[in-house]
Amino acid sequence: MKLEAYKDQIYSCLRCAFCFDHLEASGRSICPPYADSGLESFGARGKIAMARALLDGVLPYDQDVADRIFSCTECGACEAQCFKYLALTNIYAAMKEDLAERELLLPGAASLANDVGAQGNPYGRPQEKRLSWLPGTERVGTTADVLFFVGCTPSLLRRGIARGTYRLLDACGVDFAVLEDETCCGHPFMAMGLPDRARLALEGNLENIRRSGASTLVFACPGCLKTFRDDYVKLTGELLPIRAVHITEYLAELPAFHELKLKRQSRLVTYHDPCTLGRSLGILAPPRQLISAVPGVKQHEMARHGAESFCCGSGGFVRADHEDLAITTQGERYLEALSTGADTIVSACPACQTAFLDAKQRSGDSRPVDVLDVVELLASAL
Amino acid sequence: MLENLSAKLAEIVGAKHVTGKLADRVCYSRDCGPDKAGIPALVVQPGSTEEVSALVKAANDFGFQIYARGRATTFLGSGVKEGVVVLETTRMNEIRKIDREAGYVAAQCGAIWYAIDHQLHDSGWELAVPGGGGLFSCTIGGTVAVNAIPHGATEYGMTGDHVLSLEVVLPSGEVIRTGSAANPASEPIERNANGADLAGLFIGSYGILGVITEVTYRIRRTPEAEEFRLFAFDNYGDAIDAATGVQASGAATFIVGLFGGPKPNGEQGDAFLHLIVRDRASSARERMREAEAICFSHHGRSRPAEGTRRYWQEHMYSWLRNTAPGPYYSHRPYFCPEVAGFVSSQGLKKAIALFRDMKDEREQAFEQFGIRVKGVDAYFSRNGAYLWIDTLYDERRDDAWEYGMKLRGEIAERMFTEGRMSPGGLGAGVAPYIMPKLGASYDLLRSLKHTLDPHGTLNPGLLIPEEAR
Repeated sequence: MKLEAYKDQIYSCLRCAFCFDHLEASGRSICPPYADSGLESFGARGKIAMARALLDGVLPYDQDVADRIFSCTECGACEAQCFKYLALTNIYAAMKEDLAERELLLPGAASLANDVGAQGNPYGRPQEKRLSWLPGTERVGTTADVLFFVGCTPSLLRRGIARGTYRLLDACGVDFAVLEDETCCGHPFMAMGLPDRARLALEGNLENIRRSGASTLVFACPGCLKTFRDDYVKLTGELLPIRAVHITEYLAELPAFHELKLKRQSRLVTYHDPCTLGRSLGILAPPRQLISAVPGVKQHEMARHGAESFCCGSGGFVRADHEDLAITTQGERYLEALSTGADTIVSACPACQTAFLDAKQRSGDSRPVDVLDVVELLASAL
Repeated sequence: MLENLSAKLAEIVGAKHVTGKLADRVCYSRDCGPDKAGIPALVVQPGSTEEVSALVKAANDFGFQIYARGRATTFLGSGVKEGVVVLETTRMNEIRKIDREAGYVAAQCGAIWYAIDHQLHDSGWELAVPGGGGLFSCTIGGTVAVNAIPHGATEYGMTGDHVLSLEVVLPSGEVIRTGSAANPASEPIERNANGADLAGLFIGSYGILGVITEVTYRIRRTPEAEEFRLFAFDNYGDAIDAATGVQASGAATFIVGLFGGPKPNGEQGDAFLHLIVRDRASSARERMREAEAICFSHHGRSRPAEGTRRYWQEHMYSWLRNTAPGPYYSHRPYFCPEVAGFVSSQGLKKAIALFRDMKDEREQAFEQFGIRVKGVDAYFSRNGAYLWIDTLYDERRDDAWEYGMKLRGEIAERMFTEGRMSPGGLGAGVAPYIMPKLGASYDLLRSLKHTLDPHGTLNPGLLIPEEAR
């Protein structure tokens, strides 16, 4: 049982319940699946209670445990608030591995994993569609100092993010390329408890990346970035042999970006911190700095922002099996964004953008609200 | 049978709020303490007082036992027995009214104490005590039900002192309100109205006499200024004399004494006093000067008080020992079978000496089972002190757990007799060591329980140990 490796931590849980509530607002939870279900087993204290019961032989791994563990949006809010500083997300990952080994993946997750295995992306789309957003082929498969790792969602669903990133790098005069044969980074496999498959996906991409001669990898998807920056070393025991950065970090540090003459836009923006980018990778300031670089744009923060941001409901690929949870959570976050009075919701993650667009559509709200990725906002000001 | 019961409860609260799945039930067993507990047969989450009432009536009709709980952040033993129904109140989390003119807040039982306080702080007000036990996540109903020992107790008193009114579901399912609010024509502004202090019956009763569903609690304006001091003493007798003097002078809002466990980081001495004064700026300075003078007269040495400030403002115990929460708590699998209770301030001398003797006598066993002393700390109240004797055992070791529990029993027996200690918050863990000593008082409690709850429906065994069998 993979869980055995975390026995000390599991036995350390004080059961203090810091991991459930927004401690400054009664009735507001920090944990989407707990907020949705109201049951402790969907929140962190309950998951650790289940882990303890599994270790003690009181509870078997079964479909109920799988349902609860795979409802986690991997937002990390519980871990950030843990009184005992437990590596909660690692414990959940071990439980996922144990569940996967026992063939207890939920149906949507299993189907998603099959798609990634067969097509190289979680959407079941053919590989040749992956580059059809490109304005030209001159940067494909070439050697360059910077490699833009596009990611499945920007390549196939949220192509405005792919195009925006491309345009910004181009406008800044960056010597960059994209891979001809990029495939899924392995992030979905990590979320499904299949780390060996994630490692194979990573290593396959890394071989292609090495051939590009790039010294820097730029990502528009926080999930892909985390897989390379954080998960690679866990999976292989080796340091990633290349610098990996998010596009917002890269641009914020790039002198050429700050020399661009961006066009004025009259917008009131609220920025949603993607959990993976903000709380997990600690990239909080760069997106805000870039938004502020657009003349005329003002920012209003949501009540829950920065390291205390609330999930959009899309993390951990929970939509595959817990669509209602995803819809409820994205709806709550969408209304929180609107409550700032903003006319533009900006994020820096294709999954978050998808969630906000879906929430907007489902709300039936007629207010003219734009939902943009930060690179789309910036690209529109070029 | 269980399916019928589950269906009946689902009729009351909705199917989403009843669960019988083992994956859910294992989460509603223990509290934060060391006591093992049973796994309930069902967990039910009411959303209103009416639903609580209906559930309690159903319990009487169907003959099942209910354990009511909020966030279960006590260290006293949940007492949950195998096969019972846990009634969890966290859906009832609405802050219903803040009346600054009348000086109260009314909240449903499941509202988070810290969240209520935070909402008040935004407008320059605060709850009359800063929170029971220091766990931010506690609910207001649970905190009042166990009458948790609050920070600020030297000036502000106990949690229960500031309750103005309670709404309670009795073991029969009837709903009552206490104090002035018992009169439907009145408001919840005075606890001591309409005769006997019924609120007092339920404060600290650990839910055995009724489920508190709403609390009306006193609030006040946040004081203008706060002053902090730390004093080190070369012997604990001096520290206790100093604390007794400060207490008698009324100078301090809060005095915390450290008489065992690790010393504050970077400090030397046998005992330490943290002093906190809150008042208007000029009054706070004057009061602190008086407190300082008393400490100096008892050979106290003034030390940097950043830890005192951070302890008070962040409510993290680690700062009492000048240590940040990270390195102090981290992820060590240690649990605390605490023994705690009220003693007179001067009586601390005997109680502390007693524990130090007990520790010396058990040196070999402490070594064998890896027992540590986390703290021998006292919160000075208005008239005495609340002494915590906190030992720690390794949760991974069955033998350490067994010894830790045995040790708790031995400390409790000695403290509740020779140490002249009377425990405050009581759960399933410590009740067996004190209740049989209370004589006619305990008989009265049992009579009250039997009269109000003849079937033993609510939280059986928590204050009345023989019910646990």
